Amino acid sequence: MVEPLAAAERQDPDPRIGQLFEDFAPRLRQALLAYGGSDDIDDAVADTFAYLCEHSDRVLSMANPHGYLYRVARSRVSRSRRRHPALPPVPQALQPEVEPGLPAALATLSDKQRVSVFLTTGLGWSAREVGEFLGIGESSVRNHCARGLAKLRAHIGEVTS
Amino acid sequence: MTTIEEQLRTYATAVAGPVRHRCDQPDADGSIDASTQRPGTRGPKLALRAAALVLVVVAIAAVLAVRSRSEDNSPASSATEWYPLRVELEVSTTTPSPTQTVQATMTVTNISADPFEVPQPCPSDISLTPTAEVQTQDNPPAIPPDLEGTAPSDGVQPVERLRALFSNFTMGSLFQPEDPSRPCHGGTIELQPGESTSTTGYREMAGLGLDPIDMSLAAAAKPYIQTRVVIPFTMPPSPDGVLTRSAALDLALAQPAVQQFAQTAADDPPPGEPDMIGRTGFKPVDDGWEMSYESGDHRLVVQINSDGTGTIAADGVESPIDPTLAD
Repeated sequence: MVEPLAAAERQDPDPRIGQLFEDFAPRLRQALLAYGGSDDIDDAVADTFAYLCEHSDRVLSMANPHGYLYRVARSRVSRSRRRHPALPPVPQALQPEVEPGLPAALATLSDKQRVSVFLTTGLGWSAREVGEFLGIGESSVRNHCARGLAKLRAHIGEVTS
Repeated sequence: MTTIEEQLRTYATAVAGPVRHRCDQPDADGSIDASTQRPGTRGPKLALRAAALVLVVVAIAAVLAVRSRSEDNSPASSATEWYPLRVELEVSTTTPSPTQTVQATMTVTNISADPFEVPQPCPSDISLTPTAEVQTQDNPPAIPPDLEGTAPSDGVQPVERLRALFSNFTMGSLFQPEDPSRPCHGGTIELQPGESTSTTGYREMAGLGLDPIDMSLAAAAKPYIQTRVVIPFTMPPSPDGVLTRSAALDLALAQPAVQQFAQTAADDPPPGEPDMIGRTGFKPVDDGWEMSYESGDHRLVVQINSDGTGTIAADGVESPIDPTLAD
């Protein structure tokens, strides 16, 4: 009895869900990559979308659904990845302009520092956008970013191109 | 010299890739093709990027900056050519009034004879930044005083550490889309020979929260720092009767209750942190400023009105601000 109803719901989803996820999923992938590396992203994104479908009324009524869904997605990233984020290696074509130790250095930052640095400095997100995901203010994002950059600079320094 | 910021941009763009403008739901087989997120893994694009990187080294010496600036309240523009890109920045005024909204447009043009892929520019690529902190190839961004690795016992007074935490400006003030509810998320675009793409951003001067220090409007075609184009900018003075950000900070830090809080927080850092590092907030409110600091179990909120009055809430204990303590 339940399955046909569920199938019907899948065929005719709330259009707001599709719009929300269309706007949100690409950024979610980038934030998850910064948070835990690339290994669990596909599963985490799929699980988050399923969660959104199941709890659409509640999520869509929230003031900050993006931040909430990001936390949902983070919880889907395996515990080992949370402790030891595995960022992708530096592609060969980018070396030596990009220090090969950069991913390992990023992994030494706190979660918020790493996400703030990667998304703002790396991908050009605004502090407000990152703050929305992390649930913190813009100034806090900037603080995390500045500290993260300082740590990275101390860790790997600059390389001569 | 490749800065950390430049390395991060290059790396992040390569591994996190362009933003896809469609729903990233799993494909029919349940997978999501990660390769579509990584331009660096695409053969022709990879070759193009590699060629571009070689050209970077060769072309740095050929950077041509053409700058013009008007002295009155009229539009100004500046352009930089960094093969194969030309980046032009236009601003509605470099001497705005305190209530004005400044409009700036960055245009990126492929001046080569071949297609070239660049990240789609966004309004947040344009920033208003203290000139000393404008990131250029020869001037990596300044960072705030090293707040880590220095224990309070080394002689740095807790109240000065608090000042440093509140004085962090390194990211500048980014421009916003015309409709802030629809932020720009970039993606990549392949510019054909002679083709241009542009973005326009807006920044209200009211409530910007920066004092009239030496500022610059800066923009670049990310992730290429060599395309950085800069226009000197004059911050408008604060309206009469309005506390500047720095004056509010000075007044707050002169309060005995704040100084005592700083000492308490320094003596009791959160577990795992070597010293008093916390989350700070500093924002304009209706009639003044609100500063907040949170570290471990300690929380400080200072509200200062334009007339210098206000309240301090330090670890739950409230007290009034003494406006006579201002310098």
